Amino acid sequence: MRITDNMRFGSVQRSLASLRSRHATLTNQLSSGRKILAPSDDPVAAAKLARINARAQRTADYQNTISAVRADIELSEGTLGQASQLMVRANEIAIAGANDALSPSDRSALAVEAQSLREQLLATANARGQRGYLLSGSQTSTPPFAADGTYQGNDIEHEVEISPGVRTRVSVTGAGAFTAAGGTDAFAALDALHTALLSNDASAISATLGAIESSREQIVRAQGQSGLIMNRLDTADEALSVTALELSKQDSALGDVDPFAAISELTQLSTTIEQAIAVARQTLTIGQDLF
Amino acid sequence: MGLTDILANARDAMSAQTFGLTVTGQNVSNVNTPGYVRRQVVLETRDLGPGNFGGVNAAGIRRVSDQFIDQKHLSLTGLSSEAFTRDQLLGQTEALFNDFVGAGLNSSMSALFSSFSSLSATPNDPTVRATVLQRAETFSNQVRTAADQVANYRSELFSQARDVVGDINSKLDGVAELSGRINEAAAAGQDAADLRDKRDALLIELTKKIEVRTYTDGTGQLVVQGPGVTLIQGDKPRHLSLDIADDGSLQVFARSGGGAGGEVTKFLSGGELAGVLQVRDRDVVEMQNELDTFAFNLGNQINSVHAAGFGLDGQNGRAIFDVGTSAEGAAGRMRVSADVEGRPDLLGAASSAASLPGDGTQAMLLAGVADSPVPGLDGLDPSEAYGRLMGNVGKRKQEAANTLSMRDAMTAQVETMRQSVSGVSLDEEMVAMTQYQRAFEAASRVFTTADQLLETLINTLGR
Repeated sequence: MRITDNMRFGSVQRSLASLRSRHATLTNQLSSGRKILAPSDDPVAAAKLARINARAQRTADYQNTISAVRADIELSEGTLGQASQLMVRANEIAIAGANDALSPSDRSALAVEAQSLREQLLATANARGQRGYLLSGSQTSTPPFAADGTYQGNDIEHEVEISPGVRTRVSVTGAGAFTAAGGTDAFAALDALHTALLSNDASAISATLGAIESSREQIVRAQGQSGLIMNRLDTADEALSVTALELSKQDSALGDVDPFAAISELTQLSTTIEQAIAVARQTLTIGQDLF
Repeated sequence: MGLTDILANARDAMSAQTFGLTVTGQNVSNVNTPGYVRRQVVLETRDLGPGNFGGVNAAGIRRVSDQFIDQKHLSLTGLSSEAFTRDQLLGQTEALFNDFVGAGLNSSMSALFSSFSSLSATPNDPTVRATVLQRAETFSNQVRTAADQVANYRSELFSQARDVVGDINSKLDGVAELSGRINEAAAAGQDAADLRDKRDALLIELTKKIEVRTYTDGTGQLVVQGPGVTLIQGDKPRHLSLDIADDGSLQVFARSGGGAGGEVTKFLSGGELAGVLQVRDRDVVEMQNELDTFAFNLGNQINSVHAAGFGLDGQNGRAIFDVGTSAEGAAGRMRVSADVEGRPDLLGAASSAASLPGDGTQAMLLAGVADSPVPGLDGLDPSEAYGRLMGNVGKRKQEAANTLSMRDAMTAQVETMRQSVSGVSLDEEMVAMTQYQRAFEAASRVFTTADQLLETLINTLGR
C-alpha cells in the first residue's frame, strides 16, 4: 500500500483523539465518583437508578412520617400515664374518705382535692400535640372533653403508612380511655366521689371505689396501646433503615465508579497515550532529512 | 538529422524535466491542502519524423484518483455527517432530561410525594399544606419547562434546517459554476486540475449537508445525484426548498425550473439536513409524546385520588393539577389547578367530611400513588415511567453515538484509501525531484556536448 504523509498524520491524530476521549471520560467519572453522568452512558442502568432514587426517597418519607407521628403518640402515652396517676390518687382519697373515723371537715377537705383531681384530669385529657388535641380522634381542633366531661371528639383514629403497604393507627381516642364507651366514665366516677365526700356518706364513698379502679384500668389499657404503637413504629423504622442501606448499596453498585478499576485503567491509558505520542514523534520524524 | 536536432532534443528534455520539477514542487507545496489530489506529469516521446528525433514531450498533468473510492468517500462522509448532527442535537435534548446533574424531574416528583406523606402525618399543619402546594407548583413548572424547552428546540431545529437548505443551495450553485468553468477550460484545451480540486472539495462540503453521488455522463458532464433527485446536471443546479406539512413535520422539495418540484423528504439519508429532520420530526416528537403521556396520566391519577379527599372546608371533588382533557400537549399545559391554587386549606387530606381536620388518610393514599401502577402508563409506577422516559432519551443518544463512531470509522478507512491513492507522499516527491534533477543535468550535459561539437565544427574545421 502506498503510504502518504496525510495518512501518517491522520492515523496518529485519530488514535490520539480516541485515547484522549477515553481519558477524559475516565477522568470525569473518577472526579465525580459516578459511572453514569448522563442517561446515554447506560440507559438501562439510568432507568433503574431513577427507580432506586424514588424508592430511597419513599423510604425516607416513611421514616419522616414515623418521626412526625411518634412525638404525638409519646405525648399521648405520657398524658395517659399522668391520668392513671390521678386515678391512683382518687382511689387513695376514696379509701381514706370511706374510713368511718373520718370527721366531716376532713371529708370536705378531701372533696376539694377530688374536685381538683377532676380538673387536672380534664386538663390532662385535653392535652395538645403537633396534630392538635391528642385524644379527640380526627377532630383535632376541638378539645376532646367539655367541662362537664362530655366527649366532643370522634372515634376516627389517625392512620398513616409506615412502610410500603403497611398502614397503622397511630393515635388513641379519649372516648375509649375516659368515657362509658370504654366501659366506665372517669369524670362521672370523680364527680360521684366528689358528691359522696361532700354529702359525708361513707358507704356512698366506698361505692365509688369500683368505678375509680375500673377507670384507672381503662386508662392504663389505653396507655398500653400507645406503648404498642410506639413499638410498632420503632420496629418499622429499623426495617426502613435496613431498606435504605440496601437501596444505597444498589445505587452504589449500579452508579458508582469502581475506583481501583478506573484508576488502573487510567494509568494504563496514560502509558498508552505516552507510547502513542512516542510512536507519533518517531513516525513524524521519518523523512525529516529528505529535503 | 544534425547537431542542431540534438540541441533541440536537449532543450525539450530540459523543459520537460523543469515541468516535472514544477509539478513536484506543486505536490510538495500542497501536501497539507485539503482536497488536493496529487498530480503526475504525463511524459511521452515525440513521434519520429522529419525534423523530429524522438525527444520528450510533456503532454500535461494527470490528477491521480480512483472514481470508486471517491464515490464511497462522498457517500460515507454524508452518512457520518448525518450521524454527527444527530449525536450533537440529541446531546442537547438529553441535557433536558438528565437527572444526574442538578435537580431534575425525578427529584421534584419525589419531593411532591414526600410532601403528601408529610401531609398524612400532620394533615392540619398549615406549613405542611403550603409545602404540598409549592411542591406541586415546582413539579408542574418543571414538567412545563421541559415541554417548552423541547418545543422551542423543535422550532430552533426548523431554523437550523432552513439555514442548512440555504447553505446547500449556495453550494449547489458553487459546484454548478465550477463545472461550467471546467467545461470552458476543457474547451480551451486547458487542464483545469485546480478547478477540479476545488469542485471535489466543494462536493465534500456539499455531501456533509446532503448526501450526494456523482458520475460523468456521456457528454463528459458531471451529474450530481442527491436523494431521489438529480441536483446538478452539468452547470445547471436545482434548488431545494422547505415546507411544513399539516402535521408540523418538515418537507424538503427539489424545485425544477419555476415548478414546485417533487418532495424528497423520505429519500434523505445522509448529511446534516437528514440529521436535523430525523431529530426534529422523529426523535423530538417521540420525546414530546412520551412526556405528554407521562404528565397527562400521572396528573389525572393524582387528581382522581385527590378528588375523593375533603378539604378543610368540608368539600371534595377538587383537582390538584390541570392537565387538560387530552394527552396531546398535556405536559406543556400542566399547572396547579385553579381548584386549589393559593388555597392550601382546600387540599383534600381527609377521607370524609366527618373526619376533618385531623384525618390524613387521603394524603396517605396520594403518597401511595408513588408506588402503584398509573393507569395509562403500561402498568408502571411514576418513577418507573419516568425512568423509562429518561432511559429512552438516553437510548436514542447512545444509539446515535454508536452510529457515529461506526460511520466515522468507515469514513476514516475510506479517507485512508483515498489518501493512499490521491495523497502526496513526500518520499516519492523527493525521489521524483532527484530524478528530474539528474535528468535535467544529463540533458544539459547533452546540450553542452552538442555545443562543443558545434564549436569544434565551426571554429576548428571551418578555419
